[in-house]
Amino acid sequence: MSQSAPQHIHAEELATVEPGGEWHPKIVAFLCNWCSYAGADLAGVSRLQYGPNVRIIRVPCSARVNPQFIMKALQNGADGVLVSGCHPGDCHYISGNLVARRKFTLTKRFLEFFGIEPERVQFSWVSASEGGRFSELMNRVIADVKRVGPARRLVKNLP
Amino acid sequence: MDRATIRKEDIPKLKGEGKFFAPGRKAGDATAFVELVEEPAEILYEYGNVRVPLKQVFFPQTEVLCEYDFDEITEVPLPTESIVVFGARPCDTRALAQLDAVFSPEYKGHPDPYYLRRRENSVVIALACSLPCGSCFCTVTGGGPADREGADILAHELGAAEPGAAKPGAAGSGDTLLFEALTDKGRALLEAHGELFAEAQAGQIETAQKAAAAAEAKVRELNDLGVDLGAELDALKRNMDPLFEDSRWSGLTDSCIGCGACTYLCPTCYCFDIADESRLYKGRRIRTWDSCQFPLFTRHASGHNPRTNKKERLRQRFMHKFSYAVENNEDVLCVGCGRCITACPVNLDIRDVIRAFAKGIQSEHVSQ
Amino acid sequence: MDSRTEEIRQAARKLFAEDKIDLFIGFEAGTLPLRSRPCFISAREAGEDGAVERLVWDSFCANNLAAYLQKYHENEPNRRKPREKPYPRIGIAAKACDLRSIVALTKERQVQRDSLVVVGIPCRGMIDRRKVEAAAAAGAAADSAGGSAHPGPGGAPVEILAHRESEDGVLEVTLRGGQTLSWPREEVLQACCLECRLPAPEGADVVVSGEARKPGDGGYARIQEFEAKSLEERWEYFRGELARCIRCNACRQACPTCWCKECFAEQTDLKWIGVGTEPSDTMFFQIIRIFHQAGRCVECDACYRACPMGIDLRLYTKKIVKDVEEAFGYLPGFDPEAAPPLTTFSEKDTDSFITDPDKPAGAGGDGAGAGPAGHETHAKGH
Repeated sequence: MSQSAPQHIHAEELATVEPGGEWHPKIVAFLCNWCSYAGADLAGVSRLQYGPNVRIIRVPCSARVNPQFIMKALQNGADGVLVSGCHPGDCHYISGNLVARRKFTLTKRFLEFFGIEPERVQFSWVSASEGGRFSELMNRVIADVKRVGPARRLVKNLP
Repeated sequence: MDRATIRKEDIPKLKGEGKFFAPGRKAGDATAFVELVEEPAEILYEYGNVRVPLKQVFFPQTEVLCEYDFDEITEVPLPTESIVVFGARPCDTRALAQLDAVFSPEYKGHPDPYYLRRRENSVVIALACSLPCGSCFCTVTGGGPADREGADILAHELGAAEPGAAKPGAAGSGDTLLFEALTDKGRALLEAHGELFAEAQAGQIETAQKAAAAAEAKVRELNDLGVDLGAELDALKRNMDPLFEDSRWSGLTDSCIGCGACTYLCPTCYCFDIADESRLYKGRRIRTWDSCQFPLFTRHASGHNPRTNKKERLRQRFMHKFSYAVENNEDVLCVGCGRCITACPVNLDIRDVIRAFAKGIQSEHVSQ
Repeated sequence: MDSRTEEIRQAARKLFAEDKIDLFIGFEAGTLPLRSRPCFISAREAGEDGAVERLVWDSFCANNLAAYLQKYHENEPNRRKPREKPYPRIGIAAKACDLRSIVALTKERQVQRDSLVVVGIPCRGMIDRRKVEAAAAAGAAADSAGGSAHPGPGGAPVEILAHRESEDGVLEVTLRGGQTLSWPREEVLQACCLECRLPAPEGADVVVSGEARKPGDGGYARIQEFEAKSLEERWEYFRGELARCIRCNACRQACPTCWCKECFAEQTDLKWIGVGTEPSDTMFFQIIRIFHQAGRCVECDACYRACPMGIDLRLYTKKIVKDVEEAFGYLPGFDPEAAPPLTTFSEKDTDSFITDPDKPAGAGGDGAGAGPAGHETHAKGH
């Protein structure tokens, strides 16, 4: 059973420290196409500011997000991962986010049990009309990740 | 000098410029050859055999071969530091001799520089067994608890209890070891650290020899499998291959769950995988241990897999050890250490296989 | 040997005699002390002298035999035609945990329950070989006069040459050198058995006599204690345990509910993790492998027993079992109709893990089970 790959993160973009400068976190955000991605788009069109630290990956539904995506992002050097979908009850595919909700409940608790900082892996519901909410959410996540510093625990150091 | 005694507390001083490996405890009963870096070094003596075998030192489980960045390839330089290993049981050093043969230039013309470089720069000090375990069958494969093949020095604990002694766990008692140099490298090590050694007394040599003989007798008593594989190489070459289609293989392999514990803990198993790990344009090429027990081991790029079930895979393991290796290398690729038996989650026992086929293996002229 | 050995043999004989099974999977004596091992008897062999007499039942029958069943029910990949050959009829000696695994596999369509005859054994708990070895080392060290000049951590090696379990539940071992030590079996039982909440197999086709042990409390206290530690302490513990993982896959292979023909760890068309012992890869493997057991793990501890390096996997399997039970009220049990928790949902499922930007700043959401009580979901229009 093969799974299609999430869009590539370019290696150069994973260098999170500017030469001589301060560290900027790199956040990978998995946004569901119908709500959260549209919400992010609305934030952009409305010129609502949020940190440039986010790399967005569009998925059809939050249920598409496999915990392995989150682990892989952390392994590849992401400092934080956000997964955002439609509000429960509003899923474009009716119940995708409702099943995902159970998966994410377990993922969140499980990763923290191992010692992964809870600030690094966050989940949210953002609808297509909530551009403001999206930008606030991003700024909040960026601030949280800044507080816990660069991710080191699961990073796989390749040349 | 060829024989000398040394105190246990002086062993870490044999380190030299490079690395020093000795048995250490990772957790519970999981032991391995660990690099001693702290002073004073804590060497573990109380062990039957180290769980992760000696091959780990010379053939590490994960090894980076080269790194690449788009079209630029940087080979990882071969290690140059010297290696001293202390405390390998004679079964493990005998296994090392078998790995030497497989990785050497003479074997099908493909020398393994990573392994060979480490071996060239190493001195291996074996530690003879005085208390063989119930799962040891080194004598069946042509070895023994004080076997001399593969090591540069053979050490004996003086004052260790005899097998069957009332005092359990007396291996590790006594604070002096007798060192017997077996190769030029061994002799050179003894000379380089002359101040740590004292001349061996005749009485000490005799004690060591008696302990070795008693241990060997004990192993033979514990594990009589009906055939002496070490002496039956010609018979194995003739008789093992036709046993490929024998109907008994199913029964012997039914309970296997297909994990790789036996192969990874086997001191003579050497199969490896080479994989590239990259992140877009940059990456590295690594070599890792692989196991013929994994279903994907023989999967072809086409998707076809000639060994689809565990009977075929487990049969392959035994045939490699008792048939193909004998043809290719004039040696049974098993040293009777028994790790596969103790590690197997379902207690599959290679001795059952040997016993089952013993009659078929034996030379016709040997009386039953 | 447990008195039920003869009952199990009788059950097997009867099933073969009545041509109800083609194969019986049980346990036989092992080749090492403190081991009993899986035993396969085919209908053809059953007629031979001594075949069924290989079967035993004792306190060392810990393996989860359900792990073998999926292979017998495999179909060819991409099979469009219905299967022509009937599934083999298999009799299996099952403890309660084994039966719960069989039920889990049935729900996942990996075994055909009606081609199995489950001989259920009310379980008294299985002895932990590692506990016995440790107790023997400690006991021998205490007894031996003088002891060794260089005592190592963990004590001197003792070799257990034989064991005997008495009718009244005392395990006696004989060490090399003749010394014998004994303990009441409760002292050396597996931790999972001491904590087991469901020791009686329900829904077995044949039930052997005897009373199961009293249910334990599930052992969740250990998880709570661990969660009270700091994040750094938990990470250090995990990293330390996993440092000795050799990726042998014994944990995965021993697990009855790890049945994927291609494990995520081996995928190459999309490479999640490498094949070596890089710590990031070994940790990824364990986190996800155990996560995949959510709603399916019966805490048989097969993974923990199989691990040749003694890694503390059971801490993490217990965590996923606890979380599933607390969040969804589900424990994998004997009811084949109970829907696995991740195949369904409830409108009332908690949102406590969500980061709500309207709430005051702080750690996002749930944390380790303790967090803001699930708040109302934001439905459209509110």
